[in-house]
Amino acid sequence: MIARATGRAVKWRRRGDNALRFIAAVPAGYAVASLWAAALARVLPGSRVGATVAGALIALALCAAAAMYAYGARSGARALLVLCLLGVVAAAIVWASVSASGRL
Amino acid sequence: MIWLVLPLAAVGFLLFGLSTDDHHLRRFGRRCAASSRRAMRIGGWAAIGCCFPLAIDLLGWIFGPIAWAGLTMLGAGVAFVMLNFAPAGLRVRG
Amino acid sequence: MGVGFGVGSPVSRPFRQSQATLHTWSGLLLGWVLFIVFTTGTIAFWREALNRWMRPELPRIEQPMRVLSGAQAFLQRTVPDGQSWYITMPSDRMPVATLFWIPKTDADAPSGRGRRRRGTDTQALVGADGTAVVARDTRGGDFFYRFHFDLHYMPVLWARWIVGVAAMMMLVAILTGIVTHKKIFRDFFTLRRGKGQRSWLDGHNATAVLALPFHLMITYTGLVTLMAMLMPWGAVANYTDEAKISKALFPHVEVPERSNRPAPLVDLVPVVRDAERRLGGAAAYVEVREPGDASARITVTRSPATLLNTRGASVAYDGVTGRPIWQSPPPDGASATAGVMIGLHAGRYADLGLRWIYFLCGVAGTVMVASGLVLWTVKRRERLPDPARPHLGFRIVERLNLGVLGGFPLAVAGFFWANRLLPTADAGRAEREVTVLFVVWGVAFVAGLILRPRWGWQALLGGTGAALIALALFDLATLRPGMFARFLGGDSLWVGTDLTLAVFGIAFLLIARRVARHRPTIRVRTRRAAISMDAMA
Repeated sequence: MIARATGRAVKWRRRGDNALRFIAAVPAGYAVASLWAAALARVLPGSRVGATVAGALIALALCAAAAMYAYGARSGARALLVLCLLGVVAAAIVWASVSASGRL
Repeated sequence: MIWLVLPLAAVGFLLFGLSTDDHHLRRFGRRCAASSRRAMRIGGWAAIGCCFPLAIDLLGWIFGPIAWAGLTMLGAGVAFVMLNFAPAGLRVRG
Repeated sequence: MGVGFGVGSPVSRPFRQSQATLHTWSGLLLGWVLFIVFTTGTIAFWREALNRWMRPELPRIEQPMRVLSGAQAFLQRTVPDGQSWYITMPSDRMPVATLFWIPKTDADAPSGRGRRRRGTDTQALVGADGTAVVARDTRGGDFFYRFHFDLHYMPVLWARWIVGVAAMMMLVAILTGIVTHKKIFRDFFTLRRGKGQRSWLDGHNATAVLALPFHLMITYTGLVTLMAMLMPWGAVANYTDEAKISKALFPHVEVPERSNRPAPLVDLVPVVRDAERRLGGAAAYVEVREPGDASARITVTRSPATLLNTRGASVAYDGVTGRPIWQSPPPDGASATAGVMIGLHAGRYADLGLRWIYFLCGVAGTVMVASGLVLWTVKRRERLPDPARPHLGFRIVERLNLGVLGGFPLAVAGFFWANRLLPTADAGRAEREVTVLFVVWGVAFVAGLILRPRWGWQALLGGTGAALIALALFDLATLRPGMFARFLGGDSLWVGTDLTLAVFGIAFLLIARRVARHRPTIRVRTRRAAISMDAMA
């Protein structure tokens, strides 16, 4: 009985973990990449058009990297946490930069 | 002219392939000795190393790297087909 | 998946294994879309060649400038006061100019919408003699090009999102594939034939590693072509209005205001010659705004056939005096990078030899995707508790593999056959060819659901092979002037294309024979025997 109950708990923990990894890999990964696309477009040197394009080029690679990290991390919760922190950093850069110098 | 890169790359990859145990045994009838393996690897690297400067010299810095990448891949493909699809009787004696 | 975790935390697992899981699922979920995108994209490397091959009536290759003056004569006769003319220049791959025009917008014209819809009366193929060439109505190689990213029977935006997401999953699958198989670079010379799962794995590895630079390049640059849609957030952060960035990215001469003072249009040939000198390469597109008016303006864009960056430079001229008035500024570093990446993806700059390399790499990519999808079932079949009655997920993947990997090539063969067999004079023929493709595919799919997989594979692969070989023979018998006469006249297109089709046909037949001779591996047999013995006991 106990063995079966533990088995079920382990199974549910694994399912929860997989769900968190999926959330980290797909929606969170895309959101973080998007925020960094915006942040890089604001802070990269050179013309605004150039920085915008360069930011998007890098963000596409970030998307793939985020998915790989989400599945490679020690746990799904940890992956989600790290990605959220990275997103917050990028959002702060965008917010600071836009409120300082506005948009074209 | 740029097609010169192709046989060079193919030879390089053939040497790499023949330095592995499986292919060496199949084509030479014996296991690969450590010394000949090293020689083959060095030869392979030398052949493939020559491809890049050759391609740059022939086509310049924009289309040279592209032709180099393409022909190196094609050379690896040629080597792969030769190693795996050449008749089993095709052997080197000695 | 995740079977082998240790006693400790159920969630911690080695990095490589986690990446293998990701590799499996990111490759599988949209794998069938990827297969179609890879197949059509690979065929689309021969877009111009197929445009011509599917219109055997076209005249032989002419001097581009002679065709241009023929095109101008045609347009001046047909739409002297049109709003704009678009001329796609002939090239060494296309003997005629492709013309498209927008008639003058008249306030009292009886609603121009109905006339514009079919578009047949606002476009033409025109040769050097200034008359419209009568060729069968077909979408030719352009069909594969559009299908590659716009799919069919669905809104373009949806299709591009589906293709974009599939491409991202492909990128993840390639990267995780590299991480997972630590020995791929050492193993890639090895192909163990006739060894079941091992052979599939070797084939998957070989096609992946041999063309790995191509696969990475084509997938990433493919994402770059859809970048404005997939990743617009940098633009949102920098610009208040979308128009501002597109103006900065694609600089364009301003549209003239019609003056309504008639003035003859300058001869286009010297203008285009001058533009080619200024742009440093052959011209691809000529746009004329307000021809026959004093405000007429000509824009000439450089051909991507000689340039890596697809965002070709352009020059604008006054249409009456023929004097240059504007030239596009040199692109910014990062935009040039993006343009070069798109150029690398489309390969329009590639000459015949390099185009063959592109094509062969595309074939390798298609085989890689297909073998990966088959590998999923091969791996799991050996682990099925009862191979006679597999679980639902297994059966879905198996049937989808059959219907897509086996069915789609047959549908493409059907498309080519429709091009040869549908009556050439029919209206709406181009769309009917496409319908044939989907009908054949639908029938193949249903056959794949009904037949036992083994028979299904044989029927679809064998059918594709036979159809392709028969197509080459049909051309040999019916093409007039014949393909060898054309070859001796300096035009190798028909011989080359039909020979390629025949080679692919033979390859399909060989694979079909291989499937017919295949016996399930001994491991499965012993297990099945064990199960039946259990049942008897």
